Amino acid sequence: MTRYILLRVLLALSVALGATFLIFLVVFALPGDPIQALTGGQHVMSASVEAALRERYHLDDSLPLQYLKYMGGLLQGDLGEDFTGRPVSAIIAESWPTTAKLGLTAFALEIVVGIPLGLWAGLRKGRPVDYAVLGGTILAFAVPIFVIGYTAQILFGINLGWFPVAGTEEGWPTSYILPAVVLGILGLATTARLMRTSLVETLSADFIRTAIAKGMPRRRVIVNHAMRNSLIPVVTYLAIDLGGLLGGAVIIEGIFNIPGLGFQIFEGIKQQNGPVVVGISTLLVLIFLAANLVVDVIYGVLDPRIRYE
Amino acid sequence: MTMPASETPLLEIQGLSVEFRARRAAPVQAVQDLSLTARAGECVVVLGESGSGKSVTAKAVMGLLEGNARTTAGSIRLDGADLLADPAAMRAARGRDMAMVFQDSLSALNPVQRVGDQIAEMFRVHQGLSKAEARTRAIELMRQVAIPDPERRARSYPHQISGGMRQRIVIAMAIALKPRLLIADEPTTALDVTVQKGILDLFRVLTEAGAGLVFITHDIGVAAEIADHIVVMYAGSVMETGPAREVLARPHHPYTRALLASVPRIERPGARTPIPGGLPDPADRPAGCLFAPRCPLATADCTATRPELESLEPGRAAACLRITEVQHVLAQ
Repeated sequence: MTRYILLRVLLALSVALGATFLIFLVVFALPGDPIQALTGGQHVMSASVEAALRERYHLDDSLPLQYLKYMGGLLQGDLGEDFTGRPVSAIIAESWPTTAKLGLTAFALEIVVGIPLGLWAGLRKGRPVDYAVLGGTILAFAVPIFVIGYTAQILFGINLGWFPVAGTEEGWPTSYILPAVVLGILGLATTARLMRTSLVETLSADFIRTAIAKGMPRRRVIVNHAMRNSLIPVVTYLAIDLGGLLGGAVIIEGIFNIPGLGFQIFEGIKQQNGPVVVGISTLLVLIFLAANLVVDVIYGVLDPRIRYE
Repeated sequence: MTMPASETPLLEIQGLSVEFRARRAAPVQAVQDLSLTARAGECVVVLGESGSGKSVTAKAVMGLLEGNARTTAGSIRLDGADLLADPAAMRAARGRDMAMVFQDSLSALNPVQRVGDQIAEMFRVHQGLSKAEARTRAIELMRQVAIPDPERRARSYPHQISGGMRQRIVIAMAIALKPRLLIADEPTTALDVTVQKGILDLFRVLTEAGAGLVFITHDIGVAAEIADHIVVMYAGSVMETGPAREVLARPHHPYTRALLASVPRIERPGARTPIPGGLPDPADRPAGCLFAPRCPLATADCTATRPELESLEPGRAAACLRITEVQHVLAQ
């Protein structure tokens, strides 16, 4: 098991290295000049100031050199600073709790609602409940996320007034429930579908027949034999999704005006603020990889067949 | 077979019919009018080709038929209690009074549970033993089915042990509560011959200890080795039944004869005679004898009239219209 975890960590590290380089490459390739963008084209910057700035942000170095310098800083815990001189780490520290609260609330919804819904449908295969869950999930897949977002905002925020329309002034949970539902709805639908399919498949497995032949009560057959086996793909999906939830909320954070990481990335791209984009993206990659690592470990615990020998 | 009327056989199947419902098609007859009796301490082998309805019969006895299959006629009595009429009796009997050994031990075991725990579960659930007590009993049982180093093996997962060992685990699970009836569905088919021998010996020990055994196989060699009594099935119906030695030595039914002739024998190389043709389409079964289309002795009568099981000698029966003539021909 130790060897298994070690292997997964090594694999995660190499992926992290590759992913950060790609992000760096993409930001580097963005059109426009960030130093020119600083003045907004309004003022003319003196040549010496401009040179000093270019020197400070290593903008005249080659791409590999810039990357090496950046990674060198990263290894010492230095994410650099943006072009206005604010440390990227400060920006992250400020917006990270907001994103985490939003993402974790959505994640909790996926688990607490998605899994039971899938189990319910799976145990009532071919009955009305099954079809209702199927229909609901198809709806969730079919409607674009921003449509759901704006609709929820208008319906529950403005018309019914149950939740705040936008912003985070009222704190957790009041301000977070609505955006979390919208953020989690896709994952919730996927979780329910996956759980349902996996349970139905497991219930027809030979070892379930064995458990029944052993005279095990139905409840035990389902809980002890079917559920653990059918959870394996669901847990995998959930953990990967958690990585996404903790970083990919750009649209939702935009709609509900939530100052989280997604919001900062969006602003960073608009303002050609390379260090912010690279810094936050790198962090998100690391979170995603950490989530995957956790899945791999859970996976190994759930399914003894995939522990590396 | 004569016996006092007061003696209730351990398992008595009478007139069992099982059909599979198909979407937008007529139901398919998997088993038709099957009767079978098993006694304590005796091994009944159900012999037949793939698709002859052997496994369906076994599943019907255990109440494990798939959702689209149902029993349309007949009774299955365990110690006189009708299991088909009383689902609660069926549930109560499973695991405790009757148990099943499956063919593919890898898929029959829960892949994410240690084999020791899967055996111990029997004691935990049925007898309410503590975890430690159940574990001790499971290890005892593993020793009994000749698993070496059972303490260590109990902690293995199914994929970590050999096929023969896994089949012993499945058997240990089945015999945990000393059920009076054991049903084994091709338990040695997935194993190589030396391992197969060990498993058959284990079954023999269990029947000698008083268990009734219904053993399903398509392998005549295996049947010859373990059977006290043989039931030959073809296309969902019984063709012939009788004491194993007699049926194998002097088959009455042309199908049994053909089946025996199709086995390759080392002392007669090249003498193997395969049965021409294939099983009848279960959705379109012949009106007369089910074997008539492939039978070398079939007459026009055979394709028109379905023969009943008929007894020529005490304890034996065969479903063949021409049974007397067949015996006559054989005698010459």
